[in-house]
Amino acid sequence: MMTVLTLNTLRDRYPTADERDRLTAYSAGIRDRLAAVREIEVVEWAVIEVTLDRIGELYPNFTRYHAVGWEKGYRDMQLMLQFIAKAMLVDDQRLLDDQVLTWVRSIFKSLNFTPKFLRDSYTLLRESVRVATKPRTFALMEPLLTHTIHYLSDIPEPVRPEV
Amino acid sequence: MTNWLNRLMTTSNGRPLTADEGERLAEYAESLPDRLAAVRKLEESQKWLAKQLSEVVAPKAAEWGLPREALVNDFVQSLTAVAQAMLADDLEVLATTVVAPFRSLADALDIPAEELGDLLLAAWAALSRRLEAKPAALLQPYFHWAAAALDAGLPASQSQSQSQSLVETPYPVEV
Repeated sequence: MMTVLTLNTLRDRYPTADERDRLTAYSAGIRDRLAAVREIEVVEWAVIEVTLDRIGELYPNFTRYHAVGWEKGYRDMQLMLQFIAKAMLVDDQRLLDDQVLTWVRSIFKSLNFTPKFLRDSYTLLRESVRVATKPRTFALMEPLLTHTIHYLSDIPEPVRPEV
Repeated sequence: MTNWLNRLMTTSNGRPLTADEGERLAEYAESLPDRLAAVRKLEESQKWLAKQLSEVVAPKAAEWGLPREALVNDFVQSLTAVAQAMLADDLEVLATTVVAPFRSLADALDIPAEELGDLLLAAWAALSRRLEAKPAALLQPYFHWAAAALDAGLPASQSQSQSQSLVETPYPVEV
């Protein structure tokens, strides 16, 4: 899939009609995307706080296993939101996969997080973003938030769950 | 990846984009329809351009003992690369896909690389007469930059570092 990030990989060919259409549509929507990134920056703290509160209600034993889990959780979700917003800005899911999801999922696995915990946590994040942002912003963010839920929860059940 | 944009995404890791960075991306994205139109024009002109190139290149091909078609083909491919560099607003594409291979060709033929740069400019001169002002203005700096890099005989690494000045300008200024 050709995106603005991969334009210089065309090598010895010209863009196809589909690629031209996609890039033209991207061009037309860039100000919306930029505005969405700015909106996410403004609501970031509130979104994460609400999300972590709700995760805490669902998983009250979490801190028994992870003493500084909420502090790290805040940083993880902030990082994730920023990357999701940037991937949305350049309309390229691979940026998200390559630069954050792959290694974060490995870390989550090593912490014995369960697929359900990750699915619940990032579904709550998606819901918090929906509530806190304009419909246009959420519409732009939603595919990548949903992708993040699926990607992160695609791990085996740990032998000893710690959530 | 598109090099300048890739760098922007990497260097802004862990922080929001600055206003300038956001504006740089937005201006570039908004220039895409014009850039795509210019690329389309070049693509549509390719057969015509190959004929023009054949005439321009023929004497040099004979002088260098090269099959004319092969040399024309090299130049047609270089035009595609120039178009892609303009589309991506990325001179590093030119450094690796035009300047470096042409310099290797010049070394193999034992000719000054600037002669290939001159042929590139001759191709541009023919093409520019066929283009409207906007696509011509978008493409011209890339042809001139590639020719200048060949003329200067810079190694590819230096050609790449030179690229920054134009890469940071969303719409290349006329040279």
